[in-house]
Amino acid sequence: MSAKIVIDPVTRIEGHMKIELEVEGNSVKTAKNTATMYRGFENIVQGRDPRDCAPILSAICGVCHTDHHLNSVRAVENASGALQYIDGYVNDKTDLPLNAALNRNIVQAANTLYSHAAHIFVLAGPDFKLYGLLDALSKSLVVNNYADLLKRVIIPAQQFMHQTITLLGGKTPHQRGAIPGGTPVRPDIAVIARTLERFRELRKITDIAAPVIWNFVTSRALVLASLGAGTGNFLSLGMQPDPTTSSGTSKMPYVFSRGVILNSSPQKLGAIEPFDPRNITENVDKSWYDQAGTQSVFDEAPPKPDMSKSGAYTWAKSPLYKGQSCEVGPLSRVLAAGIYQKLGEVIHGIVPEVPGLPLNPMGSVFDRTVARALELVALTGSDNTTKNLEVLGTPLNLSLVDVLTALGLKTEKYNGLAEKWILSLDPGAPAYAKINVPSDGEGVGLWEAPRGSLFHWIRIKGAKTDNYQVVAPTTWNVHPDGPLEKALVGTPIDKDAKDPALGNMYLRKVAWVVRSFDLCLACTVHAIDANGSEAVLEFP
Amino acid sequence: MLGVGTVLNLYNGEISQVLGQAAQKKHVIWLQGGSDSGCTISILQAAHPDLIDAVIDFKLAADYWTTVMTPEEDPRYDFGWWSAGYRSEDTSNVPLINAVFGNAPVDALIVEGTVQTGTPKGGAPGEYCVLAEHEGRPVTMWEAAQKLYQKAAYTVAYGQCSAFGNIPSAKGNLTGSMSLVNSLKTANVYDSKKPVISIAGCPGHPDWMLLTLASVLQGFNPDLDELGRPRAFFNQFIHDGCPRRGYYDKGEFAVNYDDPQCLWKLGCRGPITVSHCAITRWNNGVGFCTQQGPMCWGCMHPNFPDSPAGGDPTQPVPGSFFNEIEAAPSLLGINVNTAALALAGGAAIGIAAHAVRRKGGRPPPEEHDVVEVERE
Repeated sequence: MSAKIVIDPVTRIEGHMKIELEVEGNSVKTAKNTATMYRGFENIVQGRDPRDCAPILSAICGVCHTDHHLNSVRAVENASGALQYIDGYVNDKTDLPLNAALNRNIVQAANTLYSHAAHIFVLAGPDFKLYGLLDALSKSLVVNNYADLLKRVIIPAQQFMHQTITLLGGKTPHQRGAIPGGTPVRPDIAVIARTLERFRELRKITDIAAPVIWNFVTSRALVLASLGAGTGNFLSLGMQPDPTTSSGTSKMPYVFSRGVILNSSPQKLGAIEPFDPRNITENVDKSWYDQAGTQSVFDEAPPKPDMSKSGAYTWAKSPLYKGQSCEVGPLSRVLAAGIYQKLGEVIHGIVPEVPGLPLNPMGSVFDRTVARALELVALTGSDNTTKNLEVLGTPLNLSLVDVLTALGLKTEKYNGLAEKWILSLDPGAPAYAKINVPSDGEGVGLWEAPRGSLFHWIRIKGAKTDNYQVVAPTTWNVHPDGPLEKALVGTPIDKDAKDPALGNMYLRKVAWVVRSFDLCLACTVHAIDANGSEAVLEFP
Repeated sequence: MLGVGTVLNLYNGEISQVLGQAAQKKHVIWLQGGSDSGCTISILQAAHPDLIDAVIDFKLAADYWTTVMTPEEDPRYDFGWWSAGYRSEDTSNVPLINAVFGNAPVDALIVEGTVQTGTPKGGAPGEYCVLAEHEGRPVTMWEAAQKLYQKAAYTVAYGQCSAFGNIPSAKGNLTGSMSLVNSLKTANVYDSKKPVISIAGCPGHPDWMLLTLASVLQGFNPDLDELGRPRAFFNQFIHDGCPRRGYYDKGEFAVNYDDPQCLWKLGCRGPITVSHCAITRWNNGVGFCTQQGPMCWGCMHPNFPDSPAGGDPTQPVPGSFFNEIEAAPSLLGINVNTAALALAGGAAIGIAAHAVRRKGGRPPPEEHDVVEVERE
């Protein structure tokens, strides 16, 4: 006998989602997730000046409120030839001034950090009783309850990052610090000093909180790694093209490199292979649109909303890479860059019971949570040399600084990647260079939002936007038969289960699995296509 | 110029009541329609007061607020939702259903996002946005907004989407997306004696929102302009307080987007956009667009993103944000009869003054036809 559980709405995610679970015995047999809101952005940009797409598409998402704006600007710059993907999509080359490239990296770091902090503390945190932070911090700070923790730690942490984006982008959410050709923000010494100060304040909070979270999560590693196995396919479009290497802006390698991992098994992670945008397709068989089948993402004919379609149950389309459903997000980024595996080797050397990372090659709640926390520490850096990290309760004799060093992410001179870029800003030097947007052409924006891979494509005809296509991170994760639905299957449900530390466990494991993806439904259902037209794939 | 009304009456002691400790719990429902959650993120940026001050001091019970509510029995985590009936993941709809269809009290309704009133093929009216399932059928944003507006003592449209329709309602949208007020009028439930208070902006400014909320929760009616905006925060053009105003007065205009001079000629919308951006500034006052570098994109203008973009709103495709507003024929010619653009009258006077001033300024002026619009 199976029972049905409906969670509608799913809370503490961005946007509108319903989940239907069919439960047999004490676990989930089938799962269906439905995106329940549709707006249709790509229609709205049709016919507008290509430069106007960025501020309009920015409103696809108010959580990753920097990414759609920035990536739309990148797509237009790519169409203009000012941004080129070189060496087989491995590196970027840009004609923009150094200050502009740095501005975008700092803004993106702040955006990622705030988003991860918000997820770890506010969205997922309550499911883990805030990782025991309340007790840990009450000893050192004036924190007696959740409201105190919010007021003195969590809200300030994410506000520091928003203030940074405002300093470099005007206001936030929906900063306006990027336009085709660079940024209107010419950095001065006061802005640099204020930005730096805020990253350093965040680092102080991270240094206290990160080891507490790490030890809480790793003490439950085996349980959390058994939950939420996804498709075993991981995609990353590359995070943070670095303009501060010796080749400057003419060849910018990615800190978290672009790549794809396909066909992992529960025993073995798949190999890292290079990314090519031409392998992305979209399927709408189970989505509320009037078409069927799979098409290239570049020349999709325009589907119309249609809730009468048989078998359809969501506004989300299904993006695929080489026909496969891929997971995106922090875990995919650290896997595609190979650095998570490197940390795994270090830990395995100390705690042989841990075979390596990822603990589950198909993805898991544990791996997603740890990857997100690792990114947070990598971008802020750390001064914490206290060797208090554990795995499964076993001391690792490692500190946060040691972890960064093991990952190759601790620069010699600076603390954290963001600080390195802030101190590379050149006060008073230009931040904008005029570029010519072609009257006919096309361009691609490849980017990593905090929640994962973000793809923009624009076709320009007669100096107007003729067709636009966005594939957003959560669409990869919540589409029909996608990673989230797979991850929910098999999740234990027990009406009477109690965890001594965490209280009532009914549906808590489901919540862990769902929120481990850090979902953003507004992004997921942003759009249908403006106008299908034949695409000739030639990107500068 | 536009009156001196304030949300908080500064002269008779009300402010101490508004910002002091509230006597009893106030029940708030936060609805998200066609939104991107940017206004929820924005409210986390509130500084004076911050969100926790609002919850603790104003005794704000957030009975329903999907982005933050948690089914946690520990009272330390309950800001209202547990008491309102949210007990496990699958009862998340209970506080909403009790408020919409039951007897749960609603002191204030906050609406984030547009209301989609269109009917998708094979669906019901408003089914482009479904908030929850109730007795096996979907509860749409449109239905919930109507019922809660009628029930709530006060309704605040927080952010540009619910205030004016914003980007989801722009030219080209297919979903019948519109502002809260227009959706209520479409459903014939709007009562002009019960105005929707609109905190315009993409996102809405969090400090303005919480001060307004504090005010209404204590029973004080904010002084509103003809578009429902509290005059305390919407009574001057951004241009009036712009740090680049000195360049404008000297007739010095930016040529490149990263130049320090006045951004007027590159498309800045500060001269036609009303708000206190230049006074309160953003994110704990660290700055705002034209202070940091970007031009004003007019995200609080009633017709954003279409006609403030310099296009003719009667035409299918509006013009670019990068057009100089003075050169845009629609600004002064076409919209003058609409209530929205009545406000641009002030700007028109400014434009006229600007044109006059530039004749003596530098660089040598270009000639523009300037139409002066009287404010009614």
